[in-house]
Amino acid sequence: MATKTEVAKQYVDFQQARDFDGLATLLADDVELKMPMAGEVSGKEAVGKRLRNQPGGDNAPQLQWSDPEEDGDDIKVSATGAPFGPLSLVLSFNANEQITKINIAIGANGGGGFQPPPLNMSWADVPTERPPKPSNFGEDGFTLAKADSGSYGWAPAHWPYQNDTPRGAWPAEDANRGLPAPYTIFDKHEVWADNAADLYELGIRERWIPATEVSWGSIEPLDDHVEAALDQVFTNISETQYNSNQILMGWLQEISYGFHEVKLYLSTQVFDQARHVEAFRKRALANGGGLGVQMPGFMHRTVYAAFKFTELICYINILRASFLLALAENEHLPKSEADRQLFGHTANDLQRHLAFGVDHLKHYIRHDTINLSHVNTWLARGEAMMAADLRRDKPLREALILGLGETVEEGKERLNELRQAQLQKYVKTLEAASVYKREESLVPAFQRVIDEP
Amino acid sequence: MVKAETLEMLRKESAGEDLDLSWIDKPAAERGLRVTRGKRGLTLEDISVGTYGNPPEVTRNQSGRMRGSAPRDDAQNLGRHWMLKSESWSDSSMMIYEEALQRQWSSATDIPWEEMPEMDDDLELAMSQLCTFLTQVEFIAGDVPGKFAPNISADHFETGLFLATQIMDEARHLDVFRKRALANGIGLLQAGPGAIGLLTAESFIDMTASLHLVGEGFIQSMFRMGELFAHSEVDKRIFRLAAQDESRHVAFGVMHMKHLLDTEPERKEEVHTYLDRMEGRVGASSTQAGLTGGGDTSEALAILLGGGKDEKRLNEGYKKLMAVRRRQFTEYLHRLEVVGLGDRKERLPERIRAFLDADVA
Repeated sequence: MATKTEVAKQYVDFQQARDFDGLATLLADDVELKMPMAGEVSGKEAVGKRLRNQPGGDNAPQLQWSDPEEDGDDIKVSATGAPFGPLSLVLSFNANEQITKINIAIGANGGGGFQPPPLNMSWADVPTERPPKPSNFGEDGFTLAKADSGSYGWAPAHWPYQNDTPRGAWPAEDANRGLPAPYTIFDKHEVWADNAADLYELGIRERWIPATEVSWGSIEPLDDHVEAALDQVFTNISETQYNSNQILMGWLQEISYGFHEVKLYLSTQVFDQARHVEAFRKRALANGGGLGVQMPGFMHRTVYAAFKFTELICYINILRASFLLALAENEHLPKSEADRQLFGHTANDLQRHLAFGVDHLKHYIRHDTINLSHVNTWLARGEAMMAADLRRDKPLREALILGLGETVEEGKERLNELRQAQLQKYVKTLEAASVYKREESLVPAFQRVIDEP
Repeated sequence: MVKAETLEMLRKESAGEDLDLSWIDKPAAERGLRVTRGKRGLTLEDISVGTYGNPPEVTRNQSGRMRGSAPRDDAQNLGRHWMLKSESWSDSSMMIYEEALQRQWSSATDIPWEEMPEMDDDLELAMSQLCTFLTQVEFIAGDVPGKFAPNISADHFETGLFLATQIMDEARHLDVFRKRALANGIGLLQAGPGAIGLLTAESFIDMTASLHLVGEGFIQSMFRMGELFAHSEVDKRIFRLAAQDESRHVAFGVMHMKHLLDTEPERKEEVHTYLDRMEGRVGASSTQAGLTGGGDTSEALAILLGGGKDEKRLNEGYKKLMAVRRRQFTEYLHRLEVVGLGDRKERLPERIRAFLDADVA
């Protein structure tokens, strides 16, 4: 016959295995179950049913049970890992070593209250790096770059953990790691940019609030056709940034936790883009105008269809951001202090987006000689789609002509200058990213829409 | 409207012969709107007026056309956007989007790091363990809404804007708890099972039930009790600011759920199933247990709450932890009542229901 201690061990094992038929073999016919959180039941059948439905809390497999200990005539076991702190299990027995009473209670000492379980603190002994205490914060404060010192700042070429283990923490044992995540990007070269941590902090420092930090009252009534032209441009910007914003948010769940700097930076970028969506919408509605006509959407579709993160970055951080930045820097389009503030803040945001794109492309291209070819493929695809949009977007073309010039003729000249400035911004950005002489291999349709806007 | 003679004059200008300008005459929504600023500046609510302020209940807009702009016949169909407003709408989005912008903070400069005191070794270890847990799980609450963002129709774009603020907030939380663990000489400690289970949400309402009503709600309750386990002004400020952020996220989810159940009450049982899963009633272990109650986290919290690891303090810490848990469940129940699921109290697992009545305060 098994001893009481052995029966208690069997009880715990059956419970963890959710083997309630096996567990029932340990019970006396008149067994009583007392769970202070769930009342009392008695009789083997009723107790079995209760345990089957509420097996020591629904998370029984997660509980870590101590070894059974004698407690007078009873056997006591305690558990950690329950949602409410420690649990205790006290079992009483009849002469046949069958279980006659089961008392499950919150607190390691059972119904007596909330005595602590045996102190474990194994988490305090894990051999992670002890970082130096930071000092001399300076006006930038305690930045990510300062915090991630030593090995904490080292992002490996391949991140080995499939769950949300933070970089630098001691990973949980295999059995306690939970679900592997749906992340698909584990290789650093696919997402990394050396400046991500700094850009993250900069993005936070340079945040702005369209509702209160734009001088909306400075906007004076404009000629109706000029207001309509500006509003058409604002409509395009708002729509473009909503598209970039949506898709970029969707890519966050692809990036594994080991590259937290990138996830953090991208969060600032989606936040920036959300601001652009609403700020330009507000401006379109603020001065007696309204939204204009939607875009053709070839680039929208292309952004949605990006198969690779770097491909997406080519579209939204390089091509789109270059063109939008050159537009935001144009001196002829803003007609009020509010307009200048809007474009100025937006340009500032876009500088960061470009900077991330540049550093990421550089890192990606350095990784493998074939990667430059990938980049050129994506750039060509982006150029072709942007050309398709620009060629078909008559409202945008005409709006820019009316918005940029005092006369139609002047507007056309300035549109020409704008397109050249946008191309130059794009080409120079690529040069900074170590993609040289792109101007010599532009997609012809793209070149045409620049030369003949 | 632009006068016809103005358009004609423009076409007759030098180089104006190829201008079409028909787009000026075809606005989808009204022109001539002059929105006015309120006390909080020019907000989304201020511009959500007239024909711009009427998000359609059902939309066939699959092109990314912003609500109120004029459609094109040749626009690309992206085929990914939800048609029903009820799928993602929350009446609170506009307000809490603007609030999120006003209340952004910087983990680098808005926390008084230079005032970080020397802490008792055990308390510092416990805080670092708690922060290891928090930096692990916090950005899951950024990954999850990001998963659904590409599906938000541009006719309901305010939801998308709010989600961007949540992602920004969660980035800051990952960041600030990481920094805290690294700020006082200990560093990151033991990672746990994490919160990847939240990424299994397969619909927006599944997400708001599991992430906002349960996960974020539980974290919010915990942060709001940060005064109990934070032993320095540095830590108190972190938890206060993070709780403020979480309140917005919870508000979004509550109002989304309320909107859904007001407009589609027949989906009530469906919502219950998501909560059943989170409460651990469908066989798999509850994600939420791992979220706020894993063994390592509980022990660290108990040490912090009690002020040490000796038997007396640990005992006191566990008592306070019980009070924290009780508050988490009490506030959860309140959220359920607000969204129209007050009857769930009768469906709660007994271990939770009884806990609500337990004398642990």
